[in-house]
Amino acid sequence: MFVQALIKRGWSTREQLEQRWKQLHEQRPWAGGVIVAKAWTDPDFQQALLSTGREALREMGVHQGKVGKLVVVENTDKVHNVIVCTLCSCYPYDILGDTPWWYKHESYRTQIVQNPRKCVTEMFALDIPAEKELRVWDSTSDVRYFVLPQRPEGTEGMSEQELAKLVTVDSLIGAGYALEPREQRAREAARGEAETPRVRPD
Amino acid sequence: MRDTSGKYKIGDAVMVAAENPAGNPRTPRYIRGKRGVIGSVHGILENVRDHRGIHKPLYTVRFDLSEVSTCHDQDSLWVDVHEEWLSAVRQDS
Repeated sequence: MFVQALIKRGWSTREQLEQRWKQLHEQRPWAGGVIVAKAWTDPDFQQALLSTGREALREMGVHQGKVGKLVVVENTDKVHNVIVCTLCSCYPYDILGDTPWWYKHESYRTQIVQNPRKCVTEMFALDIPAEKELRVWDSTSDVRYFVLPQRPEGTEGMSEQELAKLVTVDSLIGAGYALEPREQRAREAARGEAETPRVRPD
Repeated sequence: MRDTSGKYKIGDAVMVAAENPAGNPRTPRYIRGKRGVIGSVHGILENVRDHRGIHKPLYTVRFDLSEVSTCHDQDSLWVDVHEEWLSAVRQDS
């Protein structure tokens, strides 16, 4: 009924609605994993992603959102990055899908800027080595951030598809590391298949 | 990135205003009145979903953690701040 009304009044065509329906129900790999795996295996893409953000995504097949400017920050042997939005819950959901519940939680949003090391240790059991600088990025809506995690050891020779499975939501926020292959196998065995967030295209 | 004509450049020392009723309200309280250094320059970004108008150029400002909290780890906080909240600080002061 609603659909017929939309078409009748010329607000939409049947083709547009069908295309939208397809877009919303299409099964595709989670963009977070796809982007990171490509960055781990393609240095030119990694460079482009870190310097231009969203522009770099345009060229690859992933859904390219449009919520704010995208900045990707790189974890290295010297720096560990963590993302927060202390004001609300700004997050690149257009690319990474549903925001994890804890990211919106007040305890995370207050503690991560008061005592970041203590916060990641207590909430995520993450011990950042003392020699690493911890950088907390507080997003205030115009710029959306995610972390490029470090490629785990023992992943030489793995394909992009296999590498993508090692990428977790937490690792893109800095609340975890990308999984080692044995961790990923254990998780998959425990729950059948990997869970990835839903992305709702614009 | 279109507009890079902002007042500050990477490395400039700045202070965040303690109060700024006319400024973008999305400036977190814990950095108000605090000193930091410009970490990146974004220029004027349109954000029609969240703002009514176009705001002044945006910067990511790096703060020492010890400047904005009681924690003394040698870590840092990087916060996005619009230009109307910032004033220049002499590097040696």
